[in-house]
Amino acid sequence: MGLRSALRRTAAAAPHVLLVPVPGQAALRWAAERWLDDRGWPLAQSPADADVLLECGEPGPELSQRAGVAWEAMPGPRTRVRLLAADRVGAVLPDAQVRLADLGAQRAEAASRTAPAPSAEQRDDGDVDHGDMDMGGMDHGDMDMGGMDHGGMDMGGMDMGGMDMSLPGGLVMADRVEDRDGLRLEGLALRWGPLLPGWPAGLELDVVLSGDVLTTVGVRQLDAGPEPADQPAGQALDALALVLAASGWHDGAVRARRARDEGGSGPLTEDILRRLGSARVLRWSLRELPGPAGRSLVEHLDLLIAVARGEPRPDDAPTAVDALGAALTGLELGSASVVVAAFGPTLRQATIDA
Amino acid sequence: MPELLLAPVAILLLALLATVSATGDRMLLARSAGRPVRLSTVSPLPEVARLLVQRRRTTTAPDALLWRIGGGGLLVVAALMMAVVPLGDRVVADLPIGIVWFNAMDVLLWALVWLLGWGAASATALVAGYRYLAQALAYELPLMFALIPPAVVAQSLDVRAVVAAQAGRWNVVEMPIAFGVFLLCVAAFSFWGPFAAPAGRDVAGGVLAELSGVDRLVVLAGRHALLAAGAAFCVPLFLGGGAGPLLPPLAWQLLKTVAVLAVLVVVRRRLPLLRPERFAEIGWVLLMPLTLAQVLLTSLLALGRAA
Repeated sequence: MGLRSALRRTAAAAPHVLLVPVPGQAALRWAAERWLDDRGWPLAQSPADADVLLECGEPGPELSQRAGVAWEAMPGPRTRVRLLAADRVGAVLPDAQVRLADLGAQRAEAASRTAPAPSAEQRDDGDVDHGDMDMGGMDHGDMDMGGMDHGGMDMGGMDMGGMDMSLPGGLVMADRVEDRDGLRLEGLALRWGPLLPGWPAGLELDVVLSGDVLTTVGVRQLDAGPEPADQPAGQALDALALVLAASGWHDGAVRARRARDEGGSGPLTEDILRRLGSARVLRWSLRELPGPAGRSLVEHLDLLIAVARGEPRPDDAPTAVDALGAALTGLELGSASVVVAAFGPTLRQATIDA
Repeated sequence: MPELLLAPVAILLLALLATVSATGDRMLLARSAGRPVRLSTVSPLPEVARLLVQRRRTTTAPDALLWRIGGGGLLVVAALMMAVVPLGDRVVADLPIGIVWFNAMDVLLWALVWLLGWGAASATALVAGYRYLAQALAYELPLMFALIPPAVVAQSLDVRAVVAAQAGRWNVVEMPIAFGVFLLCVAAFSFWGPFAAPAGRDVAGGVLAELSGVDRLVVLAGRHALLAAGAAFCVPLFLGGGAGPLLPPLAWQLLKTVAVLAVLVVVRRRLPLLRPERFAEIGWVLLMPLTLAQVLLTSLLALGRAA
């Protein structure tokens, strides 16, 4: 028993935390990230990677629902907590850690889980018949080929087509759409975001993927809330951290976050801005990508660096969500995620004016 | 060392080197986050304990068998790569075609990482599996060309013959391009650092997205083991194998491996992700002609020496 509890305590030494950033509550997210960075608790990449689900603020109904889906997908031991005041972070997270290591609490938590859907292998023969019906669905697909109204049918009928073609396990099969090169490829409807690490708060994309190329993009802001704009330098550094995290420069993102917590001026800020100024590989990998307000992504990066140095923020009109959708269409997922990170903060400014 | 112990020792060394790589990585991470670097915080053991305690999970309709083969296979491939690395004056598998064997093992990874993405029956994991293939298309040919110069000089595909041919001068002196490209490719086949797009955050961890518990542990350990095996193979190929003063050959082999591993770990912290569609350009336009030039140069030098 002693050994087992020792193992549990060791296992909970540095839990992985899945953040649920709430729009309008960036201060809470900053406090949480700072606390986690200071202690070396990693940010979880996905629900499967998470031990703690941390809601930074009170999520609205939609975001709450997304958080619930992520919570169901977490493996356990797991715990779900909410941060409502920045100065409470030092109490909320250690509390979560104690609960993770508590065998009794975890047993009770596990018992309260709803039963998972049966896997394909566990299904009975009745579902094999259902499988034959899928074939009917495939025929239907062939009829589409002969039909004339490809484009319209595909766009409007994406979900319906998918439902016709349900596979074992209730999964949805990809439909066919025109891709950016005019080829007729598979199109998989997918919801992208909002609970990805470094993702703009509450931003959700309904995308149709051909391979890893975004064919159509619908952008939605869940539970929009006004973000206070009183710390231009800090916010520029935070925006930089988002872009750096998205471009896969983990180290740079951590340094930018620390500079942000420094309040916008100090040795850490100097350090990251100097590194960014000479980051040739980063600039090369971001070239030709679009940024907000008609700038390229590299220009946007330079602008953020300038604002972080104390120059005034340009008086741009807020970016409409449609502009993000248009910018993303035809990009690969990897490039698109950097563009999303760059657009994110400018979208939230839009909700202030709205 | 008795013959019977050789293989277990090789696996033990691989595990040790993988631990070194994981620890070094966490050390650098702690440093850039401004945390004090203490053994208790940089040791990967708590993370291992965490993954052992964590529940395994599955997806709605996974291809479970292929998924697990893909995950477990990484460790197996790393061990099979290690089998042709000379440990002192011995080698686990004394193949006359050790270099081809290493190459074949790295090609096996194409299938394994793709299966890892496929098996989860999850869109993001599948995209990530294909990313690995896209990346592999860009690095595989440069890697093959980087393997040729050492074999040309030794006039053999036997790794021990390659070591013996470096008695006077390490290969890295004559073939720095092949050495550099080989290191890049080791990072690429381990989907490490700038080549980690198959485990990218934009796809929620990609091939790792749906893995938890011991399944995730096996894949993460496999990744570090691949990095370590690649670094270990680099030493007999370019850095004179176990050659060195005072210490026994095995010690030199290990020291040099750790040094190469350190370079790979540092590179991860310094560079952003090279997205596969961008890296393809580097692979085909830059690395391929460079490695071909290296093969030509080495061959001419070898001919000159023979004449």
